[in-house]
Amino acid sequence: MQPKPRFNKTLLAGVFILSAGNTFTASADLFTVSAEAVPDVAVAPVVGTQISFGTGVIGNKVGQSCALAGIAWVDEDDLLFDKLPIGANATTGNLVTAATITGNACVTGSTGEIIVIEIDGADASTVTVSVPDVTGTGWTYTPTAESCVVDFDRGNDVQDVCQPLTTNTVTGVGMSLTQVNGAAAATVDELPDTAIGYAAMSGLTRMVLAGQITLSSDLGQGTIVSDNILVQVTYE
Amino acid sequence: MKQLNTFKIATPLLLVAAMSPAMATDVTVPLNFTTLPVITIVETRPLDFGSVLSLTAADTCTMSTSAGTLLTSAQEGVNSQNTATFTTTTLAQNSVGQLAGDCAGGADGNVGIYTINSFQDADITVSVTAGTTTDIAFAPVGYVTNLDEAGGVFARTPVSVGVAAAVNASTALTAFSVAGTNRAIIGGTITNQVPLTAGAPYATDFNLNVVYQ
Repeated sequence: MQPKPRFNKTLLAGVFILSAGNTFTASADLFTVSAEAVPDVAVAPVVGTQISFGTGVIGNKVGQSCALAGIAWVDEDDLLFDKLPIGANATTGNLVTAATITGNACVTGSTGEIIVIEIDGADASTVTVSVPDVTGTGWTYTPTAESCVVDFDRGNDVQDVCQPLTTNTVTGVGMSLTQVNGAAAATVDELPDTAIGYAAMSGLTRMVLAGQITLSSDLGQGTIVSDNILVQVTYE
Repeated sequence: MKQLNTFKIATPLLLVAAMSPAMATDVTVPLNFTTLPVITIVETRPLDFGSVLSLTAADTCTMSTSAGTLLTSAQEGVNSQNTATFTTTTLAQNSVGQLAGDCAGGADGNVGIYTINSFQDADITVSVTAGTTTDIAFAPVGYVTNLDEAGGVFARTPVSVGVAAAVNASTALTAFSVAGTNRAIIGGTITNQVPLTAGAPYATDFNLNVVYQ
Protein backbone atom coordinates (compact mmCIF):
# COMPACT_ATOMS: atom_id res chain seq x y z
CA MET A 1 0.00 0.00 0.00
CA GLN A 2 1.50 3.17 -1.14
CA PRO A 3 1.18 6.34 0.87
CA LYS A 4 -1.04 9.07 -0.59
CA PRO A 5 0.78 12.19 -1.74
CA ARG A 6 0.25 14.98 0.78
CA PHE A 7 0.29 17.77 -1.83
CA ASN A 8 -2.79 16.64 -3.75
CA LYS A 9 -5.14 19.30 -2.33
CA THR A 10 -2.69 22.05 -2.97
CA LEU A 11 -2.21 21.00 -6.53
CA LEU A 12 -5.92 20.73 -7.27
CA ALA A 13 -6.63 24.09 -5.70
CA GLY A 14 -4.09 25.70 -7.90
CA VAL A 15 -5.62 24.17 -10.96
CA PHE A 16 -9.08 25.44 -10.09
CA ILE A 17 -7.86 28.93 -9.41
CA LEU A 18 -5.98 29.01 -12.65
CA SER A 19 -8.97 27.72 -14.50
CA ALA A 20 -11.24 30.34 -13.01
CA GLY A 21 -8.73 33.01 -13.79
CA ASN A 22 -8.62 31.98 -17.40
CA THR A 23 -12.40 32.31 -17.69
CA PHE A 24 -12.40 35.83 -16.27
CA THR A 25 -9.70 37.12 -18.53
CA ALA A 26 -11.59 35.79 -21.63
CA SER A 27 -14.43 38.36 -21.20
CA ALA A 28 -13.77 39.87 -24.65
CA ASP A 29 -16.06 38.10 -27.03
CA LEU A 30 -17.92 38.71 -30.28
CA PHE A 31 -21.32 40.13 -29.34
CA THR A 32 -24.08 40.64 -31.81
CA VAL A 33 -25.09 44.20 -32.41
CA SER A 34 -28.33 44.59 -34.26
CA ALA A 35 -29.90 47.71 -35.71
CA GLU A 36 -32.79 48.19 -38.01
CA ALA A 37 -33.43 50.93 -40.43
CA VAL A 38 -36.45 53.10 -39.90
CA PRO A 39 -39.56 51.32 -41.09
CA ASP A 40 -40.33 51.76 -44.73
CA VAL A 41 -42.67 54.60 -45.26
CA ALA A 42 -46.22 53.52 -46.00
CA VAL A 43 -48.59 55.53 -48.11
CA ALA A 44 -52.26 54.76 -48.42
CA PRO A 45 -55.45 56.62 -49.26
CA VAL A 46 -57.79 57.25 -46.38
CA VAL A 47 -60.75 54.94 -46.82
CA GLY A 48 -63.68 56.60 -48.48
CA THR A 49 -61.70 59.20 -50.36
CA GLN A 50 -60.79 59.39 -54.02
CA ILE A 51 -59.90 62.06 -56.52
CA SER A 52 -62.37 62.87 -59.23
CA PHE A 53 -63.26 65.93 -61.21
CA GLY A 54 -66.80 64.64 -61.45
CA THR A 55 -69.06 64.76 -64.45
CA GLY A 56 -69.05 68.49 -65.04
CA VAL A 57 -66.01 68.79 -67.28
CA ILE A 58 -66.82 70.60 -70.53
CA GLY A 59 -65.05 68.49 -73.11
CA ASN A 60 -64.77 71.13 -75.82
CA LYS A 61 -62.97 73.73 -73.72
CA VAL A 62 -59.60 73.36 -75.39
CA GLY A 63 -56.92 75.32 -73.61
CA GLN A 64 -59.10 75.85 -70.56
CA SER A 65 -58.78 74.38 -67.09
CA CYS A 66 -60.89 72.97 -64.34
CA ALA A 67 -59.56 73.28 -60.79
CA LEU A 68 -60.54 71.10 -57.87
CA ALA A 69 -60.42 72.75 -54.45
CA GLY A 70 -58.29 70.91 -51.91
CA ILE A 71 -56.81 72.73 -48.96
CA ALA A 72 -59.42 75.45 -49.38
CA TRP A 73 -62.17 72.87 -49.08
CA VAL A 74 -61.08 69.98 -46.90
CA ASP A 75 -62.34 69.83 -43.34
CA GLU A 76 -59.38 69.86 -40.97
CA ASP A 77 -60.99 66.94 -39.21
CA ASP A 78 -60.17 64.88 -42.32
CA LEU A 79 -56.64 66.18 -42.54
CA LEU A 80 -55.97 65.83 -38.80
CA PHE A 81 -54.32 69.17 -38.93
CA ASP A 82 -55.14 72.56 -37.55
CA LYS A 83 -55.47 74.69 -40.66
CA LEU A 84 -56.04 77.82 -38.66
CA PRO A 85 -54.20 77.54 -35.36
CA ILE A 86 -56.08 78.98 -32.45
CA GLY A 87 -58.94 79.74 -34.80
CA ALA A 88 -62.21 78.28 -35.91
CA ASN A 89 -62.40 75.35 -38.28
CA ALA A 90 -63.73 77.35 -41.19
CA THR A 91 -64.33 74.32 -43.39
CA THR A 92 -66.04 72.14 -40.85
CA GLY A 93 -68.61 69.84 -42.32
CA ASN A 94 -67.24 69.98 -45.86
CA LEU A 95 -67.38 66.56 -47.49
CA VAL A 96 -64.45 65.18 -49.45
CA THR A 97 -67.04 63.75 -51.80
CA ALA A 98 -68.39 67.15 -52.77
CA ALA A 99 -65.43 69.42 -53.31
CA THR A 100 -65.97 72.45 -55.46
CA ILE A 101 -64.58 72.68 -58.97
CA THR A 102 -64.14 75.95 -60.78
CA GLY A 103 -62.82 77.15 -64.11
CA ASN A 104 -63.83 77.63 -67.70
CA ALA A 105 -63.57 73.92 -68.42
CA CYS A 106 -66.16 72.85 -65.89
CA VAL A 107 -69.72 73.71 -65.10
CA THR A 108 -70.11 76.15 -62.25
CA GLY A 109 -71.73 74.49 -59.29
CA SER A 110 -70.75 70.95 -60.17
CA THR A 111 -68.55 69.09 -57.70
CA GLY A 112 -65.66 66.67 -57.60
CA GLU A 113 -63.97 64.55 -54.98
CA ILE A 114 -60.65 64.95 -53.20
CA ILE A 115 -58.46 62.20 -51.84
CA VAL A 116 -56.77 62.28 -48.46
CA ILE A 117 -53.62 60.18 -48.26
CA GLU A 118 -51.95 59.11 -45.04
CA ILE A 119 -48.17 58.78 -44.85
CA ASP A 120 -46.85 56.51 -42.14
CA GLY A 121 -43.16 56.87 -41.41
CA ALA A 122 -40.77 57.15 -38.52
CA ASP A 123 -41.13 59.55 -35.66
CA ALA A 124 -39.16 62.72 -36.08
CA SER A 125 -38.27 61.91 -39.66
CA THR A 126 -38.73 64.11 -42.67
CA VAL A 127 -39.83 63.03 -46.09
CA THR A 128 -40.01 64.33 -49.63
CA VAL A 129 -43.31 64.02 -51.42
CA SER A 130 -43.57 64.21 -55.19
CA VAL A 131 -46.61 64.04 -57.41
CA PRO A 132 -45.70 64.27 -61.10
CA ASP A 133 -48.12 65.66 -63.67
CA VAL A 134 -50.22 63.15 -65.54
CA THR A 135 -50.71 63.63 -69.26
CA GLY A 136 -53.47 61.82 -71.04
CA THR A 137 -54.92 62.08 -74.50
CA GLY A 138 -56.12 65.64 -74.74
CA TRP A 139 -55.65 66.58 -71.12
CA THR A 140 -53.05 67.14 -68.40
CA TYR A 141 -53.43 66.86 -64.67
CA THR A 142 -51.22 68.83 -62.34
CA PRO A 143 -51.30 69.13 -58.54
CA THR A 144 -51.16 72.95 -57.94
CA ALA A 145 -51.41 74.87 -54.73
CA GLU A 146 -54.64 73.13 -53.80
CA SER A 147 -52.78 69.87 -53.18
CA CYS A 148 -50.63 69.95 -50.10
CA VAL A 149 -48.81 67.87 -47.51
CA VAL A 150 -49.09 68.64 -43.82
CA ASP A 151 -45.68 69.53 -42.47
CA PHE A 152 -45.59 69.10 -38.71
CA ASP A 153 -42.89 71.25 -37.21
CA ARG A 154 -42.91 69.06 -34.08
CA GLY A 155 -42.78 72.13 -31.94
CA ASN A 156 -45.31 74.84 -31.81
CA ASP A 157 -48.41 73.88 -33.73
CA VAL A 158 -48.72 77.42 -34.96
CA GLN A 159 -45.82 76.59 -37.24
CA ASP A 160 -47.53 73.56 -38.76
CA VAL A 161 -48.48 74.16 -42.34
CA CYS A 162 -49.85 72.28 -45.32
CA GLN A 163 -47.10 72.67 -47.90
CA PRO A 164 -48.49 73.17 -51.42
CA LEU A 165 -47.47 70.97 -54.32
CA THR A 166 -47.27 73.82 -56.74
CA THR A 167 -43.94 72.60 -58.08
CA ASN A 168 -44.90 68.93 -57.86
CA THR A 169 -42.47 68.28 -54.99
CA VAL A 170 -42.37 69.21 -51.33
CA THR A 171 -39.26 68.60 -49.24
CA GLY A 172 -38.63 68.60 -45.52
CA VAL A 173 -42.05 67.37 -44.55
CA GLY A 174 -41.97 66.64 -40.84
CA MET A 175 -43.86 63.67 -39.48
CA SER A 176 -45.87 64.11 -36.34
CA LEU A 177 -44.73 63.19 -32.87
CA THR A 178 -46.80 61.78 -30.09
CA GLN A 179 -49.55 64.20 -29.55
CA VAL A 180 -50.26 66.40 -26.63
CA ASN A 181 -53.39 68.27 -27.34
CA GLY A 182 -52.66 71.23 -25.18
CA ALA A 183 -54.01 74.66 -25.68
CA ALA A 184 -50.81 76.51 -25.02
CA ALA A 185 -49.11 77.51 -28.22
CA ALA A 186 -45.70 76.90 -26.75
CA THR A 187 -46.31 73.23 -26.13
CA VAL A 188 -45.76 70.42 -28.57
CA ASP A 189 -49.20 70.32 -30.01
CA GLU A 190 -49.92 69.01 -33.47
CA LEU A 191 -53.65 68.85 -33.01
CA PRO A 192 -56.26 71.51 -33.33
CA ASP A 193 -56.75 73.12 -29.98
CA THR A 194 -60.44 72.54 -30.09
CA ALA A 195 -60.27 68.99 -31.43
CA ILE A 196 -62.21 66.34 -29.70
CA GLY A 197 -61.72 62.68 -30.38
CA TYR A 198 -58.66 62.96 -32.56
CA ALA A 199 -56.54 59.86 -32.39
CA ALA A 200 -53.02 60.49 -31.25
CA MET A 201 -50.61 60.28 -34.10
CA SER A 202 -46.94 59.62 -34.11
CA GLY A 203 -44.82 59.39 -37.22
CA LEU A 204 -47.77 60.18 -39.41
CA THR A 205 -48.93 62.93 -41.66
CA ARG A 206 -51.60 63.42 -44.24
CA MET A 207 -51.88 65.06 -47.59
CA VAL A 208 -54.80 66.15 -49.70
CA LEU A 209 -54.66 65.64 -53.43
CA ALA A 210 -56.69 67.99 -55.58
CA GLY A 211 -55.31 70.03 -58.49
CA GLN A 212 -56.46 70.90 -61.95
CA ILE A 213 -56.88 69.47 -65.40
CA THR A 214 -56.23 71.40 -68.57
CA LEU A 215 -57.68 70.31 -71.88
CA SER A 216 -55.42 70.31 -74.92
CA SER A 217 -57.93 68.88 -77.39
CA ASP A 218 -61.66 68.36 -77.67
CA LEU A 219 -62.58 65.35 -75.56
CA GLY A 220 -66.11 65.25 -76.89
CA GLN A 221 -69.26 64.71 -74.89
CA GLY A 222 -69.90 61.83 -72.52
CA THR A 223 -66.25 60.79 -72.48
CA ILE A 224 -65.12 58.84 -69.43
CA VAL A 225 -61.48 59.49 -68.54
CA SER A 226 -59.53 57.35 -66.10
CA ASP A 227 -55.83 57.32 -65.30
CA ASN A 228 -53.46 57.02 -62.35
CA ILE A 229 -51.64 59.62 -60.30
CA LEU A 230 -48.28 58.57 -58.88
CA VAL A 231 -47.48 59.72 -55.35
CA GLN A 232 -43.84 59.23 -54.33
CA VAL A 233 -42.72 59.51 -50.72
CA THR A 234 -39.04 59.26 -49.80
CA TYR A 235 -37.16 59.56 -46.53
CA GLU A 236 -34.69 62.38 -46.51
CA MET B 1 -8.14 41.17 -26.39
CA LYS B 2 -8.06 40.19 -30.00
CA GLN B 3 -11.73 39.31 -29.89
CA LEU B 4 -12.57 42.63 -28.23
CA ASN B 5 -10.85 44.52 -31.03
CA THR B 6 -12.89 42.62 -33.53
CA PHE B 7 -16.05 43.70 -31.77
CA LYS B 8 -15.05 47.35 -31.86
CA ILE B 9 -14.35 47.24 -35.56
CA ALA B 10 -17.51 45.38 -36.41
CA THR B 11 -19.88 47.73 -34.65
CA PRO B 12 -19.76 50.71 -37.01
CA LEU B 13 -19.95 48.44 -40.01
CA LEU B 14 -23.17 46.90 -38.80
CA LEU B 15 -24.76 50.25 -38.08
CA VAL B 16 -23.77 51.70 -41.42
CA ALA B 17 -25.16 48.72 -43.22
CA ALA B 18 -28.45 49.08 -41.42
CA MET B 19 -28.94 52.79 -41.92
CA SER B 20 -27.65 53.59 -45.38
CA PRO B 21 -30.42 52.61 -47.80
CA ALA B 22 -32.81 55.44 -48.68
CA MET B 23 -36.34 54.16 -48.62
CA ALA B 24 -39.19 55.30 -50.77
CA THR B 25 -42.71 54.27 -51.40
CA ASP B 26 -44.81 54.89 -54.46
CA VAL B 27 -48.53 54.65 -54.55
CA THR B 28 -50.84 55.23 -57.45
CA VAL B 29 -54.31 56.60 -57.01
CA PRO B 30 -56.97 56.55 -59.70
CA LEU B 31 -57.96 59.81 -61.32
CA ASN B 32 -61.38 60.05 -62.91
CA PHE B 33 -63.54 62.54 -64.67
CA THR B 34 -66.27 62.52 -67.25
CA THR B 35 -67.03 65.15 -69.79
CA LEU B 36 -70.52 66.56 -69.99
CA PRO B 37 -73.11 64.21 -71.41
CA VAL B 38 -74.11 64.17 -75.03
CA ILE B 39 -76.80 66.76 -75.62
CA THR B 40 -80.07 65.35 -76.82
CA ILE B 41 -83.08 67.13 -78.28
CA VAL B 42 -86.54 65.65 -78.04
CA GLU B 43 -89.48 66.92 -80.04
CA THR B 44 -92.08 67.47 -77.35
CA ARG B 45 -94.62 68.90 -79.75
CA PRO B 46 -94.36 69.20 -83.56
CA LEU B 47 -94.49 72.56 -85.20
CA ASP B 48 -97.73 72.76 -87.20
CA PHE B 49 -99.21 75.77 -88.95
CA GLY B 50 -102.41 73.94 -89.75
CA SER B 51 -104.36 74.19 -92.99
CA VAL B 52 -103.76 77.87 -93.47
CA LEU B 53 -101.29 78.45 -96.26
CA SER B 54 -102.43 80.59 -99.15
CA LEU B 55 -101.90 79.19 -102.60
CA THR B 56 -99.95 82.05 -104.09
CA ALA B 57 -96.24 81.87 -104.64
CA ALA B 58 -94.14 84.18 -102.45
CA ASP B 59 -96.94 84.55 -99.94
CA THR B 60 -95.84 84.31 -96.34
CA CYS B 61 -97.43 83.07 -93.18
CA THR B 62 -95.86 83.86 -89.80
CA MET B 63 -96.45 82.09 -86.50
CA SER B 64 -95.80 84.14 -83.39
CA THR B 65 -94.01 82.97 -80.27
CA SER B 66 -95.23 85.90 -78.23
CA ALA B 67 -98.94 86.13 -78.99
CA GLY B 68 -101.79 83.73 -79.36
CA THR B 69 -102.82 80.85 -77.13
CA LEU B 70 -101.60 80.62 -73.55
CA LEU B 71 -98.61 78.31 -73.21
CA THR B 72 -98.88 76.26 -70.03
CA SER B 73 -96.02 75.73 -67.59
CA ALA B 74 -96.00 72.07 -68.53
CA GLN B 75 -95.57 72.99 -72.18
CA GLU B 76 -92.88 75.57 -71.51
CA GLY B 77 -91.15 73.28 -69.01
CA VAL B 78 -90.99 75.84 -66.25
CA ASN B 79 -93.20 77.86 -63.97
CA SER B 80 -92.10 81.29 -65.10
CA GLN B 81 -94.03 82.91 -62.27
CA ASN B 82 -92.39 80.98 -59.45
CA THR B 83 -91.15 83.71 -57.16
CA ALA B 84 -89.56 81.20 -54.83
CA THR B 85 -87.19 80.04 -57.54
CA PHE B 86 -86.90 83.17 -59.63
CA THR B 87 -86.52 85.61 -56.81
CA THR B 88 -85.27 88.44 -59.00
CA THR B 89 -87.13 88.13 -62.28
CA THR B 90 -90.30 86.28 -63.11
CA LEU B 91 -92.32 86.45 -66.29
CA ALA B 92 -95.99 86.02 -66.99
CA GLN B 93 -97.09 82.94 -68.86
CA ASN B 94 -96.50 83.32 -72.55
CA SER B 95 -98.96 83.14 -75.42
CA VAL B 96 -97.96 81.66 -78.72
CA GLY B 97 -99.16 80.42 -82.09
CA GLN B 98 -100.91 83.47 -83.45
CA LEU B 99 -100.74 83.52 -87.23
CA ALA B 100 -100.22 86.60 -89.32
CA GLY B 101 -99.68 87.36 -92.96
CA ASP B 102 -101.09 85.31 -95.83
CA CYS B 103 -102.74 82.78 -93.58
CA ALA B 104 -106.33 81.71 -93.97
CA GLY B 105 -108.52 81.10 -90.98
CA GLY B 106 -108.35 82.47 -87.48
CA ALA B 107 -107.09 79.53 -85.44
CA ASP B 108 -103.67 79.67 -83.85
CA GLY B 109 -101.05 77.25 -85.00
CA ASN B 110 -98.96 74.98 -82.79
CA VAL B 111 -95.48 76.21 -82.08
CA GLY B 112 -92.81 73.58 -82.03
CA ILE B 113 -91.67 72.62 -78.52
CA TYR B 114 -88.28 70.96 -78.22
CA THR B 115 -86.80 69.68 -74.97
CA ILE B 116 -83.03 70.07 -74.76
CA ASN B 117 -81.30 67.71 -72.34
CA SER B 118 -77.78 68.71 -71.35
CA PHE B 119 -76.37 69.00 -67.80
CA GLN B 120 -77.69 70.77 -64.79
CA ASP B 121 -76.60 74.37 -64.63
CA ALA B 122 -74.69 74.01 -67.89
CA ASP B 123 -74.31 76.99 -70.18
CA ILE B 124 -75.41 76.08 -73.67
CA THR B 125 -75.77 77.90 -76.95
CA VAL B 126 -78.80 77.21 -79.10
CA SER B 127 -78.97 78.23 -82.73
CA VAL B 128 -81.30 77.58 -85.63
CA THR B 129 -80.75 77.41 -89.35
CA ALA B 130 -83.10 76.99 -92.24
CA GLY B 131 -83.50 73.51 -93.57
CA THR B 132 -84.40 72.12 -96.95
CA THR B 133 -86.40 74.34 -99.23
CA THR B 134 -89.20 72.47 -100.90
CA ASP B 135 -92.37 74.03 -102.24
CA ILE B 136 -92.19 76.10 -99.13
CA ALA B 137 -89.30 77.64 -97.21
CA PHE B 138 -89.25 78.08 -93.47
CA ALA B 139 -87.34 80.60 -91.38
CA PRO B 140 -87.45 79.57 -87.72
CA VAL B 141 -87.90 82.21 -85.02
CA GLY B 142 -88.55 81.67 -81.35
CA TYR B 143 -86.93 81.58 -77.96
CA VAL B 144 -85.25 79.27 -75.49
CA THR B 145 -86.09 79.12 -71.81
CA ASN B 146 -83.21 80.42 -69.74
CA LEU B 147 -83.23 79.25 -66.12
CA ASP B 148 -80.75 81.02 -63.93
CA GLU B 149 -81.88 79.70 -60.57
CA ALA B 150 -78.70 80.84 -58.85
CA GLY B 151 -79.35 84.39 -59.92
CA GLY B 152 -83.08 84.04 -59.45
CA VAL B 153 -83.76 85.04 -63.03
CA PHE B 154 -86.02 83.51 -65.65
CA ALA B 155 -85.81 84.73 -69.21
CA ARG B 156 -87.00 83.83 -72.67
CA THR B 157 -83.94 84.29 -74.81
CA PRO B 158 -84.69 84.94 -78.51
CA VAL B 159 -83.31 82.67 -81.19
CA SER B 160 -83.52 83.02 -84.95
CA VAL B 161 -81.38 82.42 -87.98
CA GLY B 162 -78.14 84.25 -87.26
CA VAL B 163 -79.08 84.99 -83.65
CA ALA B 164 -78.03 82.31 -81.20
CA ALA B 165 -79.41 82.00 -77.69
CA ALA B 166 -76.93 81.62 -74.85
CA VAL B 167 -78.83 80.10 -71.97
CA ASN B 168 -78.42 78.22 -68.73
CA ALA B 169 -79.91 74.80 -68.09
CA SER B 170 -82.16 74.12 -65.14
CA THR B 171 -80.51 73.00 -61.95
CA ALA B 172 -83.18 70.91 -60.34
CA LEU B 173 -86.15 68.68 -60.89
CA THR B 174 -89.39 70.62 -60.89
CA ALA B 175 -92.99 69.75 -61.50
CA PHE B 176 -92.48 70.64 -65.15
CA SER B 177 -89.03 69.41 -66.10
CA VAL B 178 -85.98 67.54 -64.92
CA ALA B 179 -82.60 69.05 -64.08
CA GLY B 180 -80.39 69.96 -66.99
CA THR B 181 -83.12 70.86 -69.44
CA ASN B 182 -84.29 73.81 -71.49
CA ARG B 183 -87.06 74.13 -73.98
CA ALA B 184 -86.92 75.77 -77.36
CA ILE B 185 -90.22 77.27 -78.48
CA ILE B 186 -90.13 77.72 -82.22
CA GLY B 187 -92.44 79.50 -84.62
CA GLY B 188 -91.41 81.40 -87.73
CA THR B 189 -92.33 82.24 -91.26
CA ILE B 190 -93.26 80.07 -94.20
CA THR B 191 -92.74 81.49 -97.65
CA ASN B 192 -94.38 79.78 -100.58
CA GLN B 193 -91.83 78.98 -103.25
CA VAL B 194 -94.37 77.92 -105.86
CA PRO B 195 -98.12 78.13 -106.25
CA LEU B 196 -99.56 75.63 -103.82
CA THR B 197 -102.29 73.10 -104.40
CA ALA B 198 -105.38 73.39 -102.28
CA GLY B 199 -105.73 70.65 -99.72
CA ALA B 200 -102.23 69.32 -100.30
CA PRO B 201 -99.83 68.78 -97.38
CA TYR B 202 -96.50 70.59 -97.42
CA ALA B 203 -93.51 70.02 -95.23
CA THR B 204 -90.05 71.36 -94.79
CA ASP B 205 -87.57 71.32 -91.93
CA PHE B 206 -85.10 73.38 -89.97
CA ASN B 207 -82.02 72.69 -87.88
CA LEU B 208 -81.81 73.18 -84.13
CA ASN B 209 -78.22 73.14 -82.95
CA VAL B 210 -77.12 73.00 -79.32
CA VAL B 211 -73.57 73.06 -77.99
CA TYR B 212 -71.97 73.58 -74.61
CA GLN B 213 -70.50 77.01 -74.23
